[in-house]
Amino acid sequence: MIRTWGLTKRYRRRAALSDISLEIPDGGVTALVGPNGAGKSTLLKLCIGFERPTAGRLEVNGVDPVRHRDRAIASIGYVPQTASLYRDLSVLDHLRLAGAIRPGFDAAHARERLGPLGIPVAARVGELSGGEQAQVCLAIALGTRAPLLLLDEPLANLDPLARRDFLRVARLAADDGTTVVLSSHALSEIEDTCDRLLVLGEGRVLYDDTVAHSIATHRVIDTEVALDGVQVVARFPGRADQVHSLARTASASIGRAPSLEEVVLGYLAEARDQAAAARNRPARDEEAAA
Amino acid sequence: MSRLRAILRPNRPELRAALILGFLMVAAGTGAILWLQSFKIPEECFSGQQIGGGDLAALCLPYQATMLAYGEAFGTVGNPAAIATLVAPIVVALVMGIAALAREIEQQTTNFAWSIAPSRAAWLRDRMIPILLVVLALGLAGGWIGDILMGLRQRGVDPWRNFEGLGLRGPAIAASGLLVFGFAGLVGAAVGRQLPALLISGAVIGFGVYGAVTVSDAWVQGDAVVGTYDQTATGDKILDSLIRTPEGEYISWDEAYQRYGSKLDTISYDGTDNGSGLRVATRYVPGERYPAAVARLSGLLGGGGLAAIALTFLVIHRRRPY
Repeated sequence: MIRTWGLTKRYRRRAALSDISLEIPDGGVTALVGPNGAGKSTLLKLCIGFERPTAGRLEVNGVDPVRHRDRAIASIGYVPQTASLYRDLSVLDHLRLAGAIRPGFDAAHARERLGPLGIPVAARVGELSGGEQAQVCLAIALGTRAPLLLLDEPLANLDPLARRDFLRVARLAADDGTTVVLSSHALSEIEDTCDRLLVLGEGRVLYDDTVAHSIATHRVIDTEVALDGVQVVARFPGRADQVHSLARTASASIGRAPSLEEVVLGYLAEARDQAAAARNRPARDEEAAA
Repeated sequence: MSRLRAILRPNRPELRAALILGFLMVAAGTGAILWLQSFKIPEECFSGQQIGGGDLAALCLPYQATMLAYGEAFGTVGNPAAIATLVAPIVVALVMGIAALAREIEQQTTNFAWSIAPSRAAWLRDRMIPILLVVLALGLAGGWIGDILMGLRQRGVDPWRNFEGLGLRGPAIAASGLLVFGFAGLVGAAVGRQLPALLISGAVIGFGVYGAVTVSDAWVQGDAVVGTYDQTATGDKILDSLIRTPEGEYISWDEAYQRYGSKLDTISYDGTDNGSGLRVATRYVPGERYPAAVARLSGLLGGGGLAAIALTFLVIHRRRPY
């Protein structure tokens, strides 16, 4: 479980995370989504102790990674955005190295994950494709047998087929009881894999719920005309010049069921609208005063 | 053993290069030593004179040509071998220090290692100690060969009673290797980029060595004694030539000229009195003090290296892996 209280991370003047409090429960796959700069990677790096919070605190499986980084890392398997492997070393060398520096590393479990994917353990990492390297990272993270798996945009550089393979393995890990947190841009592809949705934007949590409940409690209205009694989250651009509205309602008689991507787009659009309104507010206040 | 191999696997190319360089250094040094020892010259012929010069006793007259050849051989083979024993361990220490951390951070492989290793300190310790042992072994071997070569350069003088080449041979080489490795690792950990780390650590190491040598020199001066020039021996560290006044005060030549003028013109250099009461004196550090001097210099260099390594642990504990 990941819990944060008023967590803030600033890089000089820019706030990557602003006073966020959240809870990612144990089990399943949680999708961490949001635009570039939303703070997804920062949150994961804070969890593994690669970054230190500017304010607030967090716990990973009941451990503060700032004060007890070693204990936090012992309960985490981490896959970074770019495969940070030794290009000149073979996959087997990596498994041996992981076994040497991580007590209890299960190399056999990691090899089991690689076997069906046809990745030869004798191959040098530099000879593998981006997708295969990502799979090696995931296999090593799984070999740690950690109860929590943090996947930091691992799909970003993968082709569609490699993404499917990667997500399948991540889903299997979750089915085996591992908690998986997956940050990603590829919303349409992770929809079938995730159980929970956490949308970050503007450095804060925009939305947090299970995927099933998110779909069940929202509708997409393919018109710009607002309906009475329906709370519209925001309008967002659809395909081919269409504009949709995301409505917060469970009524099946209104519009149609949204995709997960549409739920995310709706909340991102809401955050964008609020930010624009906040920027314009001083000008309007000045006009009113005049 | 397999664990050690796995941990050092990322540094295998540098370790291989270090071992090859070490082998070449030992081979060159040993070859030079064996060749120089193959010159059959009686030890007496080297006493009280530098190689290739000086008056030769009747005993040594038949060996004059051989001694000249010996001097040439030393210049051709002995000196380059001595330089190699100094340079090879330092180069290896620098390269290994940079590769151990700056390259890891630059190539972001620390993302992999630090997300797996629960303790960064243990990760660093497991990597640094074996590499450090290689650097030290190379330094000790180089220093040992350097000592033997010094013994062959100044025959008849115990290299451990000889201030010639203080810091450029013996255990000081291993200590220098430790200093270079420590600072290269520290700067590499802080900067996280290979080329800047190489340049910055070069400058930092230069200051570190200069500081250690300056302190060591000041320390050595504390061991100085004053005597006549005849009392000094090859291997002593001559610091100054002074004048002993009739009152027993030791003053510089400049001051003596101001005070006594032309009386100095007839002074003899063997320390005898020319009737003026003025005597030439020499301030020097006896060769017997060499072991203490080299131990202190090695301690300063090695201590600096160990301090840098300790700071490296602190930097690695706090820094980001990218």
